[in-house]
Amino acid sequence: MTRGHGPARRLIAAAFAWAAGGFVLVLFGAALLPLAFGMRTYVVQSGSMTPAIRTGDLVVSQRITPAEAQIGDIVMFKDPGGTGELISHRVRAVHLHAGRAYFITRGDANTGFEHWSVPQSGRIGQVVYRLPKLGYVIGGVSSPSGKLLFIALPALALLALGLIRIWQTGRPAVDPVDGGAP
Amino acid sequence: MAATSGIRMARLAGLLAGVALATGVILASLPSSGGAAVGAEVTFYANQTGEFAVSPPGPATFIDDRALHPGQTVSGSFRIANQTGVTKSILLSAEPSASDLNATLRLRLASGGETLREGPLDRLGTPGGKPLVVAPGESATVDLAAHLETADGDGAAAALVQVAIQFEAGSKR
Repeated sequence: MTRGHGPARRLIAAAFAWAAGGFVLVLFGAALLPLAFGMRTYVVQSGSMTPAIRTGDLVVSQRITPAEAQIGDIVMFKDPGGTGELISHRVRAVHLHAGRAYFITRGDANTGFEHWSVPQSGRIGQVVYRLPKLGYVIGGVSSPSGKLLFIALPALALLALGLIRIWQTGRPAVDPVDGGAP
Repeated sequence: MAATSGIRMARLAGLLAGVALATGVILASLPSSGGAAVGAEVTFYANQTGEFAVSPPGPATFIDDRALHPGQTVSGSFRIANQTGVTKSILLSAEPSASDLNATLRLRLASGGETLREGPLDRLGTPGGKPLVVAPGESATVDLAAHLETADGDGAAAALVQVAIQFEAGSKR
């Protein structure tokens, strides 16, 4: 009854495995490739831009001059409150005056605004795209338990596999004629 | 041979499906940007003076639209009460906090169905139009409709503008 299902299962399993591989490859490629082009990635820590950007998302930003920022863009800047944290909020007004760019920004889910300014010759970040929830994965991998789970254990498993193979290749081959009988 | 070919095809199909799915997820997750997607944030408020009390009490906001898109209209109203002992003839004006919507936000101020002032925001900065006459101790409702016309630039459609409705009063004899 089940004869002939084996190859089909193998095909389906292969398709799913490669689909998962392709999915992960593209997502991580989208997270890592921009770094080669001077872009930056950040893990979103708050829900102030919900629903456009959610907590745990990984955002990819490019550096632009303040004059390039348009109303409606999501830009990254240091907290004008002086905490040193990076904030990604939407530009609601921008005004260039006397060599400085004056911004009013707000998170889509917030009611308060931020007023801040940067020299026009400076640079700010502009969010280009986001990778939903990938920040959790990266955050998880970089945590101590994540490093153990995703790096140390696979490394140990590979080491064990390598040792097993070395041990197996070191064993005497079985004579195919007499089956190794004395 | 056929099995090898089949497994290759399955892998290729799976890989393409996974790549397509991930690409779709990224494209679907692109954060909205630009004015058309965000909409303008428009707030109207009226300040009360010694002569006139406003309701909701000033400087309360009587219109607060956080996402006014081109082609949309938002409306609201407030009451103005004459606290003086003489009949007042009130001229209205609108003073925006920023000029981004000066040409594209069209206002209509009316009372009792009668239009007092109408036009784009930049034409309403000085007191004018038909006066609103309010007897001592009486009040009148002012209705405001703001229509955002199709914006020329994408950015202007996401502007942040607070508009103060101002009163200039003269005594009516």
